[in-house]
Amino acid sequence: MIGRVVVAGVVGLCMLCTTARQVRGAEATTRPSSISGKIVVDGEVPLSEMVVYLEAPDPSQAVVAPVEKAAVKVLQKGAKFSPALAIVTVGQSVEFVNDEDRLIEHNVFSNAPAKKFDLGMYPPGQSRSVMFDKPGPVLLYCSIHRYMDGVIFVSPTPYSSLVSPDATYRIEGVPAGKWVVKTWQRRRRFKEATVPITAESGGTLSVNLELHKR
Amino acid sequence: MRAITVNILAMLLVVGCQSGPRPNAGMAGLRVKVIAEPKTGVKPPPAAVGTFDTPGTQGYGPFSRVDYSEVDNIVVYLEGMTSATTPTQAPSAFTITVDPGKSSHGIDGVVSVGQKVVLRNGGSKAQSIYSVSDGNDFEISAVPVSGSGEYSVRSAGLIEIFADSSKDIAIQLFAAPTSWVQLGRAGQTLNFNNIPPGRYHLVSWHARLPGTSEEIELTADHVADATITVGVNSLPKVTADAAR
Repeated sequence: MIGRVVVAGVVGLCMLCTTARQVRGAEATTRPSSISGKIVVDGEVPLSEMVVYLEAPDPSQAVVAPVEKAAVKVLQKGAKFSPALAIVTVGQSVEFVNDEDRLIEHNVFSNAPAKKFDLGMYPPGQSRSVMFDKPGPVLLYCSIHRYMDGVIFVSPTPYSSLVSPDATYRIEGVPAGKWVVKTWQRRRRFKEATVPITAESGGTLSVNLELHKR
Repeated sequence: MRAITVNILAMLLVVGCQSGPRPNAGMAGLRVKVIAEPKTGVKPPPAAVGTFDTPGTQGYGPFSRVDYSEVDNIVVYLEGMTSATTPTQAPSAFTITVDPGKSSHGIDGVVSVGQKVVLRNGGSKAQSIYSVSDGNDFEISAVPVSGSGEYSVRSAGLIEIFADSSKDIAIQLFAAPTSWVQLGRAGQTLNFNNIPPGRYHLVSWHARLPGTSEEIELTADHVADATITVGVNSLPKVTADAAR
């Protein structure tokens, strides 16, 4: 286990030691739980642009609910991606909207292993959509404007959260069962946390994540 | 007749200048022309305004454009395809100073797997110097003022190095799988000399733009020419119809 975990409290009705595959079948009879906590790091280094997400214990065997979320919109006004960091689930699409109020074209692209694409140039009022089919970070750039960058973080499951400025996170609607809590930092200053947990039906699990240099 | 002789001599001089260093007997050489190209169809910017990695400067504004004739931080390396085309010894140690408060805005150096990196503390107090980059994580704790610590590169790829005194990345190194690696910029010609003849992958890498990889064959006593082009045009295109 790379990250150390402090499980501060567990409230639940029953202990379910099931795999992610079994979880799906059990969803009808169990209630979703929530997982929350705080990110604790060495020193006074501020945290910025960080994601906490859940992964199945065996990602190759993972079965998660089909993506029902609508496409996320990423705007480009002022030659800035907004939001600068967006989270989507594998299978979900992002609509990249050129909402400049002047005749300024953008050319959004990514060379990320999780998704390589080139949207071509398009003017204000138009958009292009991309479906993200592999988990991982997708760094966005514009081939024209040098300061324009952003990130789409593609989570392997729908259970993810941006870390707030106060270093807390909260993931709702988690099916009972075994999961692995993971972190991702845009500016990676610490080793990512990888913490196995068991979410109980209708429970609230507090998982504080300590990040270290090694 | 005399004029013709002078012209031929002048041509030989020009050819000689272009060829770069000649390889030793039985070895090969390679000249690599580095090109960065903008998206096809994009009009050139009204003025050169810097590159992806130029530190932010007041007055540029958010609509500053990338000048592809100035793109730098392009890594080029040769990776042998057989044991005969693999370097037999690691290069000497790479030394770099970690200055307090200084942030890295590009590749500060290229190294190779197996090479020793010496990190010197240029600050005014002792500090840890560390990295959490995949395959190259390390921590050298309490490096004294003007002192140094070292580690050996274990894995190819980008190495981001932090120090306790730095709020952002202090140093970025790119580790190649081979010691035949150079850092170049658009418009430059890189010379690789005294390379064992044989088959290689000629690879280019840039932090943002897609790089390239191609097979080349180098022959003894000959300097080959190659061109690498980085840019977005090689990426899969997403059109409006296909995407929706």
